[in-house]
Amino acid sequence: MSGPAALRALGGAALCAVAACAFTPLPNALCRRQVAAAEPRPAQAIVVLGSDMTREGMLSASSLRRAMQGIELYRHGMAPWLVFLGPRNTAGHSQSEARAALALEYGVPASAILTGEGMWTTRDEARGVKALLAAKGVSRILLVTGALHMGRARPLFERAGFEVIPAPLRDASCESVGPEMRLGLTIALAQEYLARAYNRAADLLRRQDG
Amino acid sequence: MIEQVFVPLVALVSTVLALAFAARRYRWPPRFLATAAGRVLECVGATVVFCVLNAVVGAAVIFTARAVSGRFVSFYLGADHTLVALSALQALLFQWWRESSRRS
Repeated sequence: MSGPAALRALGGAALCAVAACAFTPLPNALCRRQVAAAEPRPAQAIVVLGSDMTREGMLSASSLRRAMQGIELYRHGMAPWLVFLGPRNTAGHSQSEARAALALEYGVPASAILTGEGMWTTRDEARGVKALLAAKGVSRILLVTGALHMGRARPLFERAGFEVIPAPLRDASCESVGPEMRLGLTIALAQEYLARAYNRAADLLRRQDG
Repeated sequence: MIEQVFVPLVALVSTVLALAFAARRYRWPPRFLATAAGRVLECVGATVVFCVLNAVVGAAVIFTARAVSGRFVSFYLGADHTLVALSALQALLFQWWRESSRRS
């Protein structure tokens, strides 16, 4: 196949894929397969995974929603500890501290709040939470994160030795309609698939090194 | 239902209008449409190639930055949608370069 012919074939395939993702319910079906169901029941700690914050220290919508879900679960008496994660940004603002301050505003006692910084990836968070909660004898946690992210986060926390009860946000709308929303969903799914592939490759390399 | 068909319908109608206008006003022969569609597909294919190339270069830059600075640099930096638009521009540049080289 000549260069231009190969490019035409690739271009045709790419256009078909974009059309399938934008104008058919394909991403909706893939999303429904990925999204973990919420099974909230009492645990020993509620762990709220980190997200983003602006340079000025404002929590992103996703970070705020995760924090609010953690606070709500605590207020429903689902666990005695509320753990907020989230790194400190280059301007010195700490996401976990901003979330802890929010929880205090909503009446969560300071003695029930734990924060974890310096964890940049989900894998780091699993390890960091293990170290943070080891002294408290916590083994069963309610894990709060995005609906699509839960599928990647849960095995990492289980591998760290926790019994994980998923409490995902309902932030991925598998019922998105309209091309723009469906393409947004496709991009979110693609990021998750790539991150899982990266994690698997990293695990494999670590095992070979070991 | 309207959400499902609105965007493709708008694009379809404007394409038909533009084709009719060009065929009447400039007398462009319709038989060259297939060639033009082929060129569009080549551009899209080249855009995909540049997207992949940009992803590979981006990953290499992130790994290097992590190793050199000792700081965490997120892979999400490479998830910027601007890279797709830039890949399309790179593809156009190379396609036109190839065309110009062929003609000269």
